[in-house]
Amino acid sequence: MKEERFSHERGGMHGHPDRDHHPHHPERDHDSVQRHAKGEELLKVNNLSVEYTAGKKITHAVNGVTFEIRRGESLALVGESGCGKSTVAKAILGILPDRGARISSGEMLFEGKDLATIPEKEMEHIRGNKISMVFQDPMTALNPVKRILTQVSAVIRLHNPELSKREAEDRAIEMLKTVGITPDRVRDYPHQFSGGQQQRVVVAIGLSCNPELLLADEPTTALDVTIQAQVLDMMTELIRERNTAMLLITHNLGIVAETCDYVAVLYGGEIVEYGSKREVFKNPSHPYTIGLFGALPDINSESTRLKPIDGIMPEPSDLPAGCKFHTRCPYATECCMEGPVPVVELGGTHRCQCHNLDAVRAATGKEAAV
Amino acid sequence: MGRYIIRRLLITIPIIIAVVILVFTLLYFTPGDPAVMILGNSASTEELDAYREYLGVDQPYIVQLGNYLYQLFIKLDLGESWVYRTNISTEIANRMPYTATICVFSVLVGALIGIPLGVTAAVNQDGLADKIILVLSSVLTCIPNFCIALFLIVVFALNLGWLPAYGTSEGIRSYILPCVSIMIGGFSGIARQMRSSMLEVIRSDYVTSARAQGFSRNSVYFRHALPNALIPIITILGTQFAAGLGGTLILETIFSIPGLGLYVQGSISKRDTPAVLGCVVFLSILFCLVMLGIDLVYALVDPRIRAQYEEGSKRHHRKHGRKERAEA
Repeated sequence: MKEERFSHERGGMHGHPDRDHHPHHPERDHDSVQRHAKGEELLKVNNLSVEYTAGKKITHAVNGVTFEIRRGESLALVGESGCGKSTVAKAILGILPDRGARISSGEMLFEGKDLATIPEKEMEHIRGNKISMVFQDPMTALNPVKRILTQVSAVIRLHNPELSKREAEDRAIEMLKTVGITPDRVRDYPHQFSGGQQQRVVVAIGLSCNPELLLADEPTTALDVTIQAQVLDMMTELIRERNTAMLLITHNLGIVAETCDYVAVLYGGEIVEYGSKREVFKNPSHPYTIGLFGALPDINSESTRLKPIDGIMPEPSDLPAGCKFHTRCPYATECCMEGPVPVVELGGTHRCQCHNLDAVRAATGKEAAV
Repeated sequence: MGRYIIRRLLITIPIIIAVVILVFTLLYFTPGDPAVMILGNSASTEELDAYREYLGVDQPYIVQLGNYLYQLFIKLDLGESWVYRTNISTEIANRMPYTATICVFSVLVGALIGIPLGVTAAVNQDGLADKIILVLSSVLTCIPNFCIALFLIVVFALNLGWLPAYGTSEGIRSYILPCVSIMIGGFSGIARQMRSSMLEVIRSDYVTSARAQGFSRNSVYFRHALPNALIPIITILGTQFAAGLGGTLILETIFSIPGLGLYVQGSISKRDTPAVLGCVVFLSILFCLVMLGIDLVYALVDPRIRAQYEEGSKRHHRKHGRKERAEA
């Protein structure tokens, strides 16, 4: 069922439309169409499953996830904590924990090569160089006992051994300047910076070797709200300049609206809904996605209370059979409780994994999209 | 930094006063008459009285304590041994090298063995090497060092005859057995601590991000993780060294090494109060200095701690630096 490849016409979801902070402006995508050349395929993840084993307990963190990212495009992986978002990123980069974690099926084709089977030596040339990662908490992602200049230039030298120490440092200083760290501070230690500045350093490290793909794992979650927008703007600006593709992992739909071209909604390790930002934001179809939007505050709405999704996410070690969401889904019927759930194509790139889409549409008052 | 060191050195003074009062009081209230101990049971009452007056032990507790503190802090004199009539400072200076040799070598060799073992165990967590090292170090930590010493003497001195069983007459060879006895407990402790410290660092985010930046596994383990994992080990080494200075007492007795431990032990059994106090004062000062040394090494390797010590200097008083110190 997860065999569909999304042969969508990419009209060019590129480029970054809005710098304004309105989550509900997907229409603006149209304006930015045709700004960049169409991206060729960069990363194609097919039916990826990852499981963790602890003793006899097996946790199915990722279950048959399929998506692709083209050059210069950004895809958001949206979901609650524990839905397997970070595991996807770590699997792509080959930095799953040594013990207990296993890619149980699927392939991840990066520039035509399967990242899951690439030998470790070759993988080391890809990490930090062609694919790099920005971590959630900058306070812990930097080595506390090394100066930031050392940390940035070490990565540059690692992937550009022909550079002298001096040249690498010059490039590091340049890179740090780009993210807004002034040269007089580059010899300071991480603890001497604020969280926002630390995350700028982390972004500098991530982009220092001009990667093709940036994996951003909740890059602003650990930051003050006031700084989130700054760091995010700086990051999206830089990846757009460099035509870097991005996989953004987040639980924040506002950030998705601002930064991404495509959205994949992850629940229980499965992509329950996928589509361009416009498709998903205009026409959220899966009950879980609808629930996510319901839980979003809207400044224009009259209602005083947010609508939370009932229940809690099931333990990834104890996922229900059938549709993983049926325990919390208001539209669940008997057929949801077992067996695989069909993937429904909704036109364009939009697809959704649900048995009862008609009932959902009827209840939410939306006409059938196809 | 300089101010910090001076402050720390000044703090040692109240510590020493407290230690002196405590030990003095313990010795004062311990039953037994030093005059009798020294002159023997056959001495007459007059002789004993005269000797008590000579030692000053006929005076009230508080006067004796005051006299001792005066002698120690104003005259900077550790005094004379009641029993041997020798200068205690000279005595300590003569005996210190033996004890120091044992301590330095056992801690150094213990670290050289323990740290690689701990790292190996952590890097192969749950593997065969890890299990062997864990079991070995648990067993060895549990055996008291005098048991190990006796075992080593039986095997290597009595049966095999490779090494001397006591004394210091054969140079380095004489020190091997005492050092190994202490080291075995020491290195297993270091190995266990190193293992858990290394594991903690390996699991930390910056090690994962170093992997994500493309550094090889070995480079991440040894260039990124190890320096951070070593920081807590400094404390262990310092504490082991300092504890060793006073704690070689039993081993020096077993191996008949004329070090500080043997001297303290002899002085306690002969109720030689000034000798015991002198050694205690000396060891306390040394202990404080070793602890200060540990803190300075910490500051050397960890810029976050260095920043705390340099509170007074201008460079680090930038807005964010200060804010984060407050959070820490």
